[in-house]
Amino acid sequence: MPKRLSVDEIARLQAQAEALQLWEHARGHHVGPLTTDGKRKSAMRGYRHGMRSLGGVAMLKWLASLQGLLVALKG
Amino acid sequence: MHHETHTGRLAAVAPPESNLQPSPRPARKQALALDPVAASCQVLAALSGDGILPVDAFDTLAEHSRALHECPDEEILDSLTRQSSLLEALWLHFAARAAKEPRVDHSAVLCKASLNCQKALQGCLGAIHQLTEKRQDAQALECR
Repeated sequence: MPKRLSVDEIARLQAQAEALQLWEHARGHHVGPLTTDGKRKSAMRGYRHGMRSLGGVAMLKWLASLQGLLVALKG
Repeated sequence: MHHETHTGRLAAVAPPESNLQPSPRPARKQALALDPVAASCQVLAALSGDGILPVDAFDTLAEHSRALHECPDEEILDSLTRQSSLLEALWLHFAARAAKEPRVDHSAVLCKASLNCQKALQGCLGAIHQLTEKRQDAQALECR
């Protein structure tokens, strides 16, 4: 059953869409955060969920391969 | 018959070339065939610059580490010595960023990354010590 939104909730969502300019996201024109604080927060999003950025994942793979080499040397 | 009607109705409603269609994702680039020394330099340059971790350099280093299993001890020792400096740089980079980070949860994440690098560095230094001792033992046996 679909959730029924109240008038206040619809108004809040409309205001949020206006603030975030969601139509620009849909058109692919949004190019990312503009302020320094926004860029910092955006960069931290990849780290917060376990180094999920491309560079973070590549670094973890390198550390795992290095760990495998050290285990082979020990054994 | 009903299916044809439904499909025809959909085709009539949908625009011929909608800009909401997902564009095909470009194929993931394979790791460049970088020299591991050049890859180490690239990582160090990235750490001193914008701090964005270079994917191709880490892929090259991982491939190099996996290929080291069959190499002689001297080559492993050279590679581990080079990679230990990289690990120390990464550890200090993440620790410095954690110290400067105003938010506690962001700082904790960066601390975890720095501890990962430090743990790998300790293992690397232990392996270097083991290989150096082995080399000194061999040299002592040759002297007799």
